[in-house]
Amino acid sequence: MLLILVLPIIISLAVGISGTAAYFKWDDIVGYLQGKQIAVLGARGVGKTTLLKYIEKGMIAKHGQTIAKQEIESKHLKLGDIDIRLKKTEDVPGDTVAYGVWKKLFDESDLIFYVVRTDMLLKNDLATEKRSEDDLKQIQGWIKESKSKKQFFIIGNHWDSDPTFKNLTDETEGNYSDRFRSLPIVKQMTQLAGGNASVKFALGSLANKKYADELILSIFQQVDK
Amino acid sequence: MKKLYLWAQSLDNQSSDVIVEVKIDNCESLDEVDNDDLSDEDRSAIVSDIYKISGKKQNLGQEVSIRSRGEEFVIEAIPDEKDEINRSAPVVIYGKLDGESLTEDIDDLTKHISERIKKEVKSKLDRTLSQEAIETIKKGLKNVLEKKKDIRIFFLLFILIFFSLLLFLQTLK
Repeated sequence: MLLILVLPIIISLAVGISGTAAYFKWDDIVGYLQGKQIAVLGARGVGKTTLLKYIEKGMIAKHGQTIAKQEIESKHLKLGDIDIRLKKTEDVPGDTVAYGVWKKLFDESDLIFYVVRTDMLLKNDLATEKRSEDDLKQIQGWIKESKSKKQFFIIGNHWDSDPTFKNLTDETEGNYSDRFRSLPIVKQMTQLAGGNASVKFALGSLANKKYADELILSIFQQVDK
Repeated sequence: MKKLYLWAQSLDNQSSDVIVEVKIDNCESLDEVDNDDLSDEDRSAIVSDIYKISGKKQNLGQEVSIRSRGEEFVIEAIPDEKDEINRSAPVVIYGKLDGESLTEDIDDLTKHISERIKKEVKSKLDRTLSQEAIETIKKGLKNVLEKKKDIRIFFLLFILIFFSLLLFLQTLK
C-alpha cells in the first residue's frame, strides 16, 4: 500500500526551461521537488482538476465535476529534459463538506496550491470573496497545527475570463497582478495564510496549453529550495 | 443493508452539495432521512468516510465506476444532467452492507437496491440515471456481495480446517 502511495508522478516541464535554467536555478528547484507532494485546494469550478491533470498529463482536457476520490496517477511523460518526480496525490471536491478531506491532504503535502478565480475576485463577487475567506480561515488553523513547514501558493486562475486581460501587454501585466494583490480580500487571505513572507502568488489561466505552461512555470519558479 | 448515502454536487456550482441518507432494511424500505436532517458534521464525516475507501477503482462501462473495501462500497454514476458549465455531474452512492445482506437472495437484493437508487437519485437529487447505468450498478453490487460471500465461506472453511487439525492432533496425543 505504502509503495502505491509513494509512486511518483513525473512532471516534465519543457517549455522555456533550457532558456531559463540558469536564471531560475532549475537544478535546485527540481532537486527540492523530488518526492514532494502537492495539494490542490479550492472551491468548485476554479480549475483544480484541470491544473492537476495538466501537471500529470501535460494536456488541457475537459473534465467533469470532481466528487468521488480521484487519484492522480503516476505517469511518465517525455515532454522535455527535466523531470520532476512528485508523490501521487488526490483530486478533491470543492464543497465545504470536503474540508475533512482537504485537511488530510494538506497534512500529507509539502506544497499547497489554493486555486481561486481571479476574474471573480476582481469583479468583487461577494460569494467568491466569502468562500475564499471561509477556506482560508480553515487553512489558517491547519497551518498553525502543522508540524511541518508547507509552501503556500495562491493561484489565480481564469485570468483570461477578465475583460482587462485581453488588453494586457508585458508592461501592464505587472500592474494587473498588483491590482489583484491589493484587493482587500486577497490581502485578508494572505494574512490568514501567514502573511506576505509566507504566501506566493501565481496568476494566469488554464484555458490553453500556452497559458497553462506559463502558469505552471510561474508557480515552480517560486518554490523555495 | 446498513446504510446508503447519495451525494451530488449542485449543478450551479454554488449551492451546497446534497447528501441524502436512505435506509434500506434488506428488501423492505424503512424511514427515509432527508438532507436537512444531516448536520454539517454528519455530512463532513460521510464525505471523509467515502474518501477512506481505498479499494481500487473499477470502471464498469462509461457511466459507472465502483470502489469497495470489505463491507463498504462507493459507486460513481454519471446522470444525464450536466452542470452550468456543461461538465458531467456524477452522483456518488456510498453503502455499507451488513452480514444479513448475505442471507438474502443476491439477485433480489441487488435488484431492489439498484431500483431504489434510481428512484432516490431522481426524487432527492433530481438527477436521471439511465437504465443501462442502473443495470451496471446492479452488476457492480452483485460483485461486491459475491466477493463478501466468498470471503465469508473461505473464513468458515479456514476455521473448520483449523479446528479439525486441532482435534486430529489431540487424538494423536
